[in-house]
Amino acid sequence: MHCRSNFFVVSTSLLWCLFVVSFFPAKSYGEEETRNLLAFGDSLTEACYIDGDSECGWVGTYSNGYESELESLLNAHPWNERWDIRVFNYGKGGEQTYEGVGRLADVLDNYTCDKPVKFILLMEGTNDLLHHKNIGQIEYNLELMIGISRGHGLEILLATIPPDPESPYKNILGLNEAIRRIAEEQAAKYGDVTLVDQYSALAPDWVSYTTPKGCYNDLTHPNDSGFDAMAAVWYESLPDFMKQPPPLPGLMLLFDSVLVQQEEDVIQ
Amino acid sequence: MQRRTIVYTGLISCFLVLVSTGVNAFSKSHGSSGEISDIQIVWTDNYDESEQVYLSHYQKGEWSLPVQISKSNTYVFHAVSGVGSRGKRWAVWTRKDKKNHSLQWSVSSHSNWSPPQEIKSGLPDNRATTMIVDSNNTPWIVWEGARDSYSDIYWSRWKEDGWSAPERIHGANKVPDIEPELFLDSSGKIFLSYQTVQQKRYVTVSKSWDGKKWKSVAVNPGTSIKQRLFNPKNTIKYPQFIQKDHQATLYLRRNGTAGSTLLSTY
Repeated sequence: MHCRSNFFVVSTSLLWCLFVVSFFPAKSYGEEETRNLLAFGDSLTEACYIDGDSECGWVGTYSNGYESELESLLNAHPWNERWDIRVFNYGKGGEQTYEGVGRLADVLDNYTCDKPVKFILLMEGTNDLLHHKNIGQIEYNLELMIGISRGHGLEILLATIPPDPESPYKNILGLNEAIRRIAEEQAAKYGDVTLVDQYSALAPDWVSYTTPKGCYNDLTHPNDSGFDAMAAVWYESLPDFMKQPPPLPGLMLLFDSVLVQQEEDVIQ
Repeated sequence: MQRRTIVYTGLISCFLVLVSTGVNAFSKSHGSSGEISDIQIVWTDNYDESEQVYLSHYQKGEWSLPVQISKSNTYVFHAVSGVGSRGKRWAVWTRKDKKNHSLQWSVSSHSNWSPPQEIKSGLPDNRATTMIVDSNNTPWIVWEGARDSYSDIYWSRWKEDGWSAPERIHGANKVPDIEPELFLDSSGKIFLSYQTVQQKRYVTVSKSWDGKKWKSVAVNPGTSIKQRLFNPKNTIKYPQFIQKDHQATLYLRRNGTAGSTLLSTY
């Protein structure tokens, strides 16, 4: 009698715990539209193999830029397959940050894609340095773009820029120091900016990422393996819920299937 | 039957004459949009491992041999040039000193270039210069000058004994003012456009020189002046010796109108 009542108490407690825990982080797995990403930048984002444009940025071939590989990484996870996560390429070759401010505002104000985005992958500044722009100016413009993104409810992933052996006069280290500072300050103040240190991740192997040369035939832009490495850095910087299943996937699926059955009963 | 054939032949002939006349008119209007008085190009490159400023001008369908103007042992960039109706050529560029960026200038006299000298602005950072030479053969320059993160737009012009004291064109603000461009229209009026931030977006500001001061104008004439100056593009042979066209600035004077453009955007 005593054992039976203990068993009853323990199992009931366990079920209650499971029930409560299964709702964490339920909101993160709720909706498809929280998962798509907008890639915004210059030619390091645009890449080369563009078939044309659409209402959702560039339409590239499978091997284009980093967006193809990032989509593959995200959708490789069985849990994410149900969402079909998309990375929309809004890169524009040659763009400087003062140009990016206006274009980003236009893209977000006039967003016509039928798939909403939750994250912006922001990487710009290398063309400003190419044109000998003041780093303070670039910082100001990146902060403007962060503000524009925030105003549209996006979470911001801000990247440092990769090396560029073609233009040794570029103060890439100086700009990246500024970018790290921006990310830290913005994260502390608003909590919605994540630093993606592309430079630190890619610089040690930049020679292999530009040998053989990629589609731009220079040392500024990576080859296919370089773009894949870039995608992996973005991937690692995304929040956990984008990369792994919920803590109790079985329970979530159970709830989902119950909800689906209820809907079908209603329809019938 | 014969009459009909004659009529048809006549109509076709008329059509062909009209078409060929139209084609010639088209070619005429687009093949030579006004005579080009001066074309010159100034650029920076490191042919011998030191970055220097070079200039070439276009005459009789050919570019002259590049002439080295600077003698710098540090980076030089943002080189611009101008040429007046009497053929005097001017060049201004930015030189990176240890911590500062200073403006340097030189002028040619009988194909000899003067030793570069600094244009003292009192500012640690000076770059993105634009230049025109007005109808009185006076060079004007406008550039981005900065003490801190926020650049402002400054201007100066040549007076008999040197450059006028640099002055800021606009009031004090806490936003970047950038990308100045100077133009001379066919009436000899000087126009300036630049970008500033208003309501967190870059907007274009346009001003013209009224003889005493810079006055705001509602419409930026720079786009149409550039259109008239730099089109059609096939009238000027692309210079083969330029390796980095984003570091080269093309200056044109045509029918009194003058202005510059980056070669990479030409």
